[in-house]
Amino acid sequence: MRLRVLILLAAAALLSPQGALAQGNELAESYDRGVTAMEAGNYEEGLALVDAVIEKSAATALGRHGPVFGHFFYLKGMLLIRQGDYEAAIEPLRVCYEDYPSSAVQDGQLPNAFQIHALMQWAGCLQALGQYEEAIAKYEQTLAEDPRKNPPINRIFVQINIARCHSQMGDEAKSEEILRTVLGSEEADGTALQEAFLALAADWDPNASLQELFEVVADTPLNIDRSTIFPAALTGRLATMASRALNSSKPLRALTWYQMMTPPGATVDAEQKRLEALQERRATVPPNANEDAVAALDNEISAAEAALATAEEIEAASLIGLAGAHYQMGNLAAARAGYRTLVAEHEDLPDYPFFLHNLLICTANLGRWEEAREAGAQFLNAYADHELRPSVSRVLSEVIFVDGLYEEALQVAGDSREDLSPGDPDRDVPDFVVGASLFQLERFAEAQQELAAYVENYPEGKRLETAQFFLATSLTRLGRWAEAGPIFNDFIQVYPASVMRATVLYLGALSNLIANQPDLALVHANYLLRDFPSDPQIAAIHNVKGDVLRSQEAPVEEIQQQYEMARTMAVPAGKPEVAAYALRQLLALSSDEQDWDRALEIYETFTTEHANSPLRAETELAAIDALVARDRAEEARENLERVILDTAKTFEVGTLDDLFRSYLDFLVSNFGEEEALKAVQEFPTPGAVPPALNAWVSLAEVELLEAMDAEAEADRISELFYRLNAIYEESGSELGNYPLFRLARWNLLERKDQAAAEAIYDGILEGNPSGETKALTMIDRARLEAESDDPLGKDKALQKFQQVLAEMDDPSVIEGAVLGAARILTSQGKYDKAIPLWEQYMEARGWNQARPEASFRYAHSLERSGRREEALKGYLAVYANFTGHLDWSTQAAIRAGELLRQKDQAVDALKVLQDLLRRTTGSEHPGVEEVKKVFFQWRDEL
Amino acid sequence: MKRSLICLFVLMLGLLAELPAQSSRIHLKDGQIQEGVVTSVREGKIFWQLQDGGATTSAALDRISFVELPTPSLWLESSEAYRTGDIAGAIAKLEQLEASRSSTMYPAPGNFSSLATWRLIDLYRRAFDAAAIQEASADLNWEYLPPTQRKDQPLVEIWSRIADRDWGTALERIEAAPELPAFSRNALELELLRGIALDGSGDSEAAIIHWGGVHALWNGAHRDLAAESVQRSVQALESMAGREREVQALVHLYAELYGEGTLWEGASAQAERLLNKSLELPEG
Repeated sequence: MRLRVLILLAAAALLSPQGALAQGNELAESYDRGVTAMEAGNYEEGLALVDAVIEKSAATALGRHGPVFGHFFYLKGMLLIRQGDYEAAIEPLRVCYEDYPSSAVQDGQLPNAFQIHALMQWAGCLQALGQYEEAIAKYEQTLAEDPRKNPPINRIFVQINIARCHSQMGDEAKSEEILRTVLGSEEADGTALQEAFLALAADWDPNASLQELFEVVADTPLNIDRSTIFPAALTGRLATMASRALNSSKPLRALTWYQMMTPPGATVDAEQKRLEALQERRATVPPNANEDAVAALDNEISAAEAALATAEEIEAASLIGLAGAHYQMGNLAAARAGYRTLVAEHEDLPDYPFFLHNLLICTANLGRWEEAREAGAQFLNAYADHELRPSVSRVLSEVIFVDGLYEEALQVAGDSREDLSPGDPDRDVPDFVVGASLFQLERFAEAQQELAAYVENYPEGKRLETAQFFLATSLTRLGRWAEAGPIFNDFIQVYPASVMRATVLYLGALSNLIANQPDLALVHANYLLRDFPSDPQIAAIHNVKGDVLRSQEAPVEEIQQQYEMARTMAVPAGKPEVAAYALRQLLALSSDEQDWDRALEIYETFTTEHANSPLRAETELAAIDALVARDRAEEARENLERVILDTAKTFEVGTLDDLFRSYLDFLVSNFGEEEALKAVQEFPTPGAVPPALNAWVSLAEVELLEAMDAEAEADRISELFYRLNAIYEESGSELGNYPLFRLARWNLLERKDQAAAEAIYDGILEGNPSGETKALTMIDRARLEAESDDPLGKDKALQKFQQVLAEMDDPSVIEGAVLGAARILTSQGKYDKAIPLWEQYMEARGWNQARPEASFRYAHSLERSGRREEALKGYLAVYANFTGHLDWSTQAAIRAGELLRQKDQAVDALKVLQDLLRRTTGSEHPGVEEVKKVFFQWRDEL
Repeated sequence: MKRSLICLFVLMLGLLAELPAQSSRIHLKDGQIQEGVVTSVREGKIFWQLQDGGATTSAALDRISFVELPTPSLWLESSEAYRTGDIAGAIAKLEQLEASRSSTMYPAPGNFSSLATWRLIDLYRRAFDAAAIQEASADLNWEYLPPTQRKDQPLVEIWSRIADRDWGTALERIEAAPELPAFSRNALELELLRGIALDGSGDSEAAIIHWGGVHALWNGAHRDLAAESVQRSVQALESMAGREREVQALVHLYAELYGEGTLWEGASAQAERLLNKSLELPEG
């Protein structure tokens, strides 16, 4: 870089004084040819010319030609400098300066116009050779002796070079002092100022504070012609400093340098045009043109090509730097502009995949999904094996997800996590995208599993907030309200400022209400009403609040007020379903209060305003009592039959289940079993009967016959089940869950066809069922799993039992779940978890499926938990209370005896066994035989 | 109609009487350049007397590219004021020049009255003053400007639409604008205008993207445009949730690169707060 300064000075000085020798003699001609050769880069030729003149004339030159002859020595020195031979250049420069002083000029002679220039270049050579002290001395001598005549020397550049020498010698302070003087000098023109500034900056930039840098930039009068742009020739040095700053993670400093550069692209344009012009000239050169001129032109073209290549390199490097600096700063829009240009214009660069990657990151962060998707897709298409591929896939999957292309997002995210283990930070986003895409695709069961795993694997996950929301919402869509509620409860605490808060409050209130947590539901509802009075769900939350208050048995007026508010707000908000629900609940409330006239008034309003509401069926059911109370039972029956038909046609099979069961109850209650049976057998079915309804007509007859005399009607019941089975085989997916559940059980218990039963159970569960039928189905299915050979069967079964327990609290439904879960936990040795379930079972007076077993296993679990005294009491109770249940009583007696023997009560132990044997005299039960065997063994041991 | 034509004729006669008797260069559309003293403009033609008292010749106005008239002193004075950063002084001189229509205006490209208006508009463009640009350009006949200046017409018209807050038309004009040389000031200004029109029409996200391009790639070339784009980006981002990091980056960028350590007048309290907050960068 220093060399370039020297050459620049030399060239400027040589061009102007030719006239001084232009006296029409040979010497002047030789001199001109020497200068031309140097300018053309033909240094050897120039040296040969100059040396020939010096050899021939030097001895007598001073006398004959005067000091002006020193110009040849100066030219020789400059030619040697151009060749890079600084050491050899010093001697001719010295001769020019010392042996041809202008002071020796005589009349008729010309002075040595380059005497002081030779001294300056001598200093330059010393500087280039690293002899800084000597160089400084010569530079200072130059300044001191400068006659300030034409051709002038550039004193500012001399000072800059002195400063550079000091800098090279390690005296940064002296260097800075000189350069700051230069920057404040009125003599300095724009170019000199820029040189001085860059020299200064190159030295202290890395260590100076950013503030100091800005102050110098601001204070320095660089605004020549209202621009701080440095010429293209200097942009390389600025780019170097910018690059250095960027590599030190100093983006603002880097941008300070970049902003001083001529736009690198503009330099490329200019170089391109220059090259094109030269090539055009070259193309038009005639065949007989002067060879030297052609060679010179070719040299010029080569130089232009090199300059263009350099400009392109600087442009690319600067763009990379600019984009990187803005990205480091967090200025995404600007970073995007940089990477976009690089992607559009620099596909040839080895870092191209990185440009695509960074463009993807910027655009994804800016929410420019289409652009991000393009960049990501381009990357994956072109660089399938690149190290950044996993990163690109991860970001791209989320981009696609946000763009709403969930199937595609699921695919890309699934692929991108293939080689990573769950919990790996790089799997965070793909795992989220998989779960969230499944959620958006309404594949809630899979979504729930993925999102639950995400929450567990990434406690600090990047998308934890949204994942929790999707997880809880998936659970609500699966009807698993009791599991959803706590997640929503936590969400509200952890993310108080979430944009999803209003929806979470609503769903949280609903989940807690359904999961029988009315207090929590009320808290959520009140938060929503207080904090989001304009939320679209505000009308619906009044309904939820009404339901909560109703479950808490609040005063009727308070409950009514909530439903009335829901109705009032729903109509202008364009939410007829909310208004319909409010009316239905008001109707139910009035019926509860036996305010039949009010109930019928509401019923009339509903049928007028919401004739086609999905809640029509439920409302008809709610109106039955009022209609019956006002002697309109026939009307109620007709209404129900009409609604059942309508519902069956619309394939609302879930509603049809509830409706038909309620219809049966209604018939039996109001018309008796015989009349009900007749009504079912003659159910009005105009036109084609939908399979769901057909199935229900058969099942209804089954249920009535079972209630009347199952044994006597066994053949008819069997016939009806076969008919139901035929309907199932023809249109299984269109049937309601309850008929399917009954059919599965019939297959299992009557036909002993477990495979057929399992297929039906699984079909029900895949259809996202709810309510009692779901619980009963899950219990049956879990029992089969627990008994299967599947090594994971017990775990799957336990999960189902626990899900039923979490979602249901109807004792008549959950007995099987408590029993099933307690059995599995006991068999797995998880006695601490099993004990509460056994206790629950024994405390439920109406549960009789397995009381002896429950009592025994409870005592057994206590024993295995080290609670021997309690266990002993338990065993004694089993054999005392359930003596006839020999499977359990015999085992209980033996275990009680063992515990007594451990307490050194061997005689008491024998008494227990003896008592049992006495009570079971005559039994050949293997348990009794075992007790006898143990009894004699213990007796002999006494 | 007849009366207005007569008035125009009289006015032109009056103007021509004041035409300076100095040499001009007449650039014809076919590339020819002739030198002479413009003597009159009439009947759709320009008449000039060739140098050294030669013959008078003429050319139809539609053959004229533009005329380099003798430069008035006010023009030079305004140029000097502009060069030294005295924008107010430059405007004052240009307004004087505009006002002296009697000696500088004639209905052909190159007249200094139209040039003065153009330069005034140019100054307003550099001040990003849409209303002033619209007002100044209202009576400008672009045909009376040399081709170089005439190229600014699309941008000035876009500025006028922006002054009217007619974002839709502004965007249409931007889309229809002729392709501009890369790295030129006008190309960059068009990007700035695109951002302004998008922002005005409610698409601030897209506006920020275009402003990002203005200050990212050529910030050194046209610092005023870069600074304006940064300022507008900050103002748009301030109202967007979750974009504080970007705002902070931009206010530091503005203050350090364009504002000598400070923000623009009227910067929001939030912008000032973020400027005073250390930018989370490795060098602190």
